[in-house]
Amino acid sequence: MTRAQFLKELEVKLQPLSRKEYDEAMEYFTELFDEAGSENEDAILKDLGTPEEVAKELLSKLASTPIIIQREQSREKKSSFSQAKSDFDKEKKRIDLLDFKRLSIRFDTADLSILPTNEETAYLICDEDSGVTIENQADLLTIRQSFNQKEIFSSNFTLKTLIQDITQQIFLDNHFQLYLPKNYQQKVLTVQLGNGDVNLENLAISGGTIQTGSGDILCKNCHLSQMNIGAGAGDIGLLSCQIDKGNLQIGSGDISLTNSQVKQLQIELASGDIDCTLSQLENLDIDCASGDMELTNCQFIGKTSLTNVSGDISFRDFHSNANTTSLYIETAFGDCDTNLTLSPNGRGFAYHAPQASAELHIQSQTGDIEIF
Amino acid sequence: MYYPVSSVLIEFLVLSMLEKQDSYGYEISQTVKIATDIKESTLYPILKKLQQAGFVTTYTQEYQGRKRKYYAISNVGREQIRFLEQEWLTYKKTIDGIIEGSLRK
Repeated sequence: MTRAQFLKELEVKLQPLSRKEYDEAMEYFTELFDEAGSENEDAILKDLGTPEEVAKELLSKLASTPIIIQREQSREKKSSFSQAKSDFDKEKKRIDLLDFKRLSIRFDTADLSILPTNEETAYLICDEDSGVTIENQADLLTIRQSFNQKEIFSSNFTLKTLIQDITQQIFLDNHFQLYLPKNYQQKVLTVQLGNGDVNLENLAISGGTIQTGSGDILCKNCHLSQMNIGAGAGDIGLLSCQIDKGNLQIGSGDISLTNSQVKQLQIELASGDIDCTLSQLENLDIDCASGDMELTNCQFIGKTSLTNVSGDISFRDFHSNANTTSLYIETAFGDCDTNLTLSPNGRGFAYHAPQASAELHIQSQTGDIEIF
Repeated sequence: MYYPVSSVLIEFLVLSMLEKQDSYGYEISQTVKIATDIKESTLYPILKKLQQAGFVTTYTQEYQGRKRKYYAISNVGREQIRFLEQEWLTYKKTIDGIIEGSLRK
């Protein structure tokens, strides 16, 4: 490995840091090489270890510290006019969770945020009257919350109860926060939500499923491996994430992948669009029915395959890949527009990169393809 | 060296170095490495922590046509050294005491 390779790889691996933290760290490591001089390059490379090791340590030590919920504060909120207490001001309670190997969360209507904590064990923050039940069976911990239909659709059911109670249950009081210790990477997490949203921040999770019906899923600064993520009608957003192996499935929602690094990922979309920006994509498969695909300023490694039935596929800022990424394009009825030199290849066209190390297979039945 | 050097002790070493003279990343790391086989990736977060705590400030200066980031100690940093020094002396005395046999429960 050379200085340039080291710094280049570190650049990619440090993406989850904030802009400022990232710039400062890169400056520091670049300066080290400058100071050591080219005659000591090998010695310093040996000293540093691999870019992965350096990045791992920096990410774990520099990433912005999580917000620590202060229970006391919410207690103080309780006013003496408790009867007039607004529903917006519901008291929160904390539930400490027993140790588990697998955690399963099933909510009908609630939103869920999963955040890191510096504490030793996991805990849940929810409303005092959230109606949550926790079961512990062997190594599996199950947390459930369900929409209490019995109470609402009782005999004295009126339009007023419908408007007040149901909307209240759905929109106001159902936000859970699950805090996981940073050393919980080896645990399997299953999250199934009905119409709530899932929000995942600053966590490393290896193994599990996140599934929502109509809710959105947003992952920020996460390291996900062996994960299956699915949304029915909601959107999926991945921001500054590293995905080692995974599956994304979506019905009518959109997917956006920004500033992320993908090692192996399969994406299936029905009618939603997909948008990849500023990401490093390795062994990516996207299968889309009628949505559009837009890839802007992405870097390709290994074999990437994009298949679309009726949507369009467009690449922006592809030129940085032109040297290393070969293209194999097939379209039955669509047009292909590009400034690259294409040659006929089987039923489609191909572009042969001078130093090909990556392959991009693009197939569209009736959509157009644009590569610039 | 055989004994591990904790990050608190590294903070002490760095602050002490800077008390004598402003320094830059490479020099700091090379000096700390005399005492312990520390990785750059361990040292860097410590330097950041010292900055965030206000013990250390930074400035950039040209050196042979490129920029070099210097670390300088602040007044709060100097106070911290006094504290760390005191703690270090107590620690050393205790360890020596047990080794030499003058200290026993």
